[in-house]
Amino acid sequence: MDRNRLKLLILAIALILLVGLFIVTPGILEPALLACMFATMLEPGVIWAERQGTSRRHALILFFTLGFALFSLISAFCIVRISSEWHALRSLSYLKQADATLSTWDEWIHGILPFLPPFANTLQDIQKTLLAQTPTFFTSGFLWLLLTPAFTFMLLDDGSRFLRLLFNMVPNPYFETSFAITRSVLFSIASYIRAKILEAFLVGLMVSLGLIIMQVPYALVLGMIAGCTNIVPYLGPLLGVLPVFIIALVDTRFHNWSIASVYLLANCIDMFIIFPIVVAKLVRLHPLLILSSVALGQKYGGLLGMILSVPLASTCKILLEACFEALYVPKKLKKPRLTPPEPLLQEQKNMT
Amino acid sequence: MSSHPHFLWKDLFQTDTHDKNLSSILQNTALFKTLTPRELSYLSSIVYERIYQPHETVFQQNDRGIGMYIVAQGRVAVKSQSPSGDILITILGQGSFFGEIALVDPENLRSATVESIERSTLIGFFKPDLLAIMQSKPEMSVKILLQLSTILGRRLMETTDKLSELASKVRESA
Repeated sequence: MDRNRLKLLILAIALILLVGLFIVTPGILEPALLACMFATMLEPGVIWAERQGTSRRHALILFFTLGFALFSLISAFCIVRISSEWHALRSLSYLKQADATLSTWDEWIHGILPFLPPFANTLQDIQKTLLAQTPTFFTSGFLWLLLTPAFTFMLLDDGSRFLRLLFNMVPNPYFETSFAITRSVLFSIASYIRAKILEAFLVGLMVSLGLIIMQVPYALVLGMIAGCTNIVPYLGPLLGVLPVFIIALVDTRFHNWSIASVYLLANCIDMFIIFPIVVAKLVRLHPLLILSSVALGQKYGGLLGMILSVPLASTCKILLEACFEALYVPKKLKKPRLTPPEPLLQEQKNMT
Repeated sequence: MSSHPHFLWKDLFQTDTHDKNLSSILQNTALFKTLTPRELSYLSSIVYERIYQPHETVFQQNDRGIGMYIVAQGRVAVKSQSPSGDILITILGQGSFFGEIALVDPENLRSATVESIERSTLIGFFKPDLLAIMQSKPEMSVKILLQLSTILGRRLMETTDKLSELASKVRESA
């Protein structure tokens, strides 16, 4: 067999084994994805530390020590309140009560709009659909706490070495192209993740602060949900309002326009200020394409699929662009001249 | 780099001795000769070592390229395509480097075809890595870019001299 073909075959087997490892052991997929997210967020900080003359490993040890200290501090102050709010929310079983309220409206609504499906258990069905394909998403907390920091550290410390190992397997004729495309894809995904997390954090912070000022119960949990759901493009803001809508069906304390105005204001600031500045420049995809990819992500991967849909669509776009460039764009492009234009050269010739 | 690696995947399992060899090859390259041992050690951890078989093409003229290569071992032929056929421009041996324009040219089009004459080991240094160095180690990147501009400037001067020489020859013959 030709040497390059053999290398290509071994590379393909290595990649299949790597993907297979995550499929066979789904328990490590979620911490690995989370680790990728954390590594992406920490990378600029590590680069900054490297600029100051610190070695990468020392910078990582410093960041992880500070990170654990900060996590413990936040846990001490916020986790107690967040967990009590969460338990209070769960104990009141708003979802069942809201579904019951909707069921009582069924007859009246179907009198006016007979084509609509029955409302009984609609909200519980939505919840089941959203979380159906991500059953372990919020359950295996201990494994996550153990694996995520370890994976993050390894990715930041050894990620480039691992990539080099993969690139060393690539046959010579495809090396430069695969290197350029992979770097471009990784850069695009990392920038998108950073931008989306910053956006989600700001939206969550605005909603939490707004609800705390309005003295609304469960302010921190609702703010966190608004922030987390904001990661899902376009549908995220609607998903973030859903818990408030469900609670408002049952709890009269939530029959208040100021709560709606907090969400509206936070989403307007996001839509008109944060998104155009932070995210839009990075995702050069048509809104229709983004919505389609989110819908496909939801169908095949639930909540996780919705979150990962845009980076995957972005990767496909880069690959297609590279193929298009290689196949259709003429290689000899006209470059602007740096040397004197022809008439000036003619003038010089006449002078001599 | 005393002998060619014989095993197909030898370049995957390198040792410290190999890294030292790599550092010394990089230090002897004009582009990196001003770097400190620590910077050379970092550089040797990000460059790529590629092995080319005899007559294997490294890159083609007008291909989109993203970096330069240093000849660690072996020899390569630099050719230019013309309507009358390929013209051999030069043959590069151990310690020479080529393709450095791709590090600074935004369109990244290769100006010549390079083919290995014998089994050769080339060290590849690519633009995304140079950009990463510019972000994380600005002092190191300044040293590399200064050397790169000196080399490009010198090559431009040499080309200008050669053109003047040719022009005067043409004038004399006319």
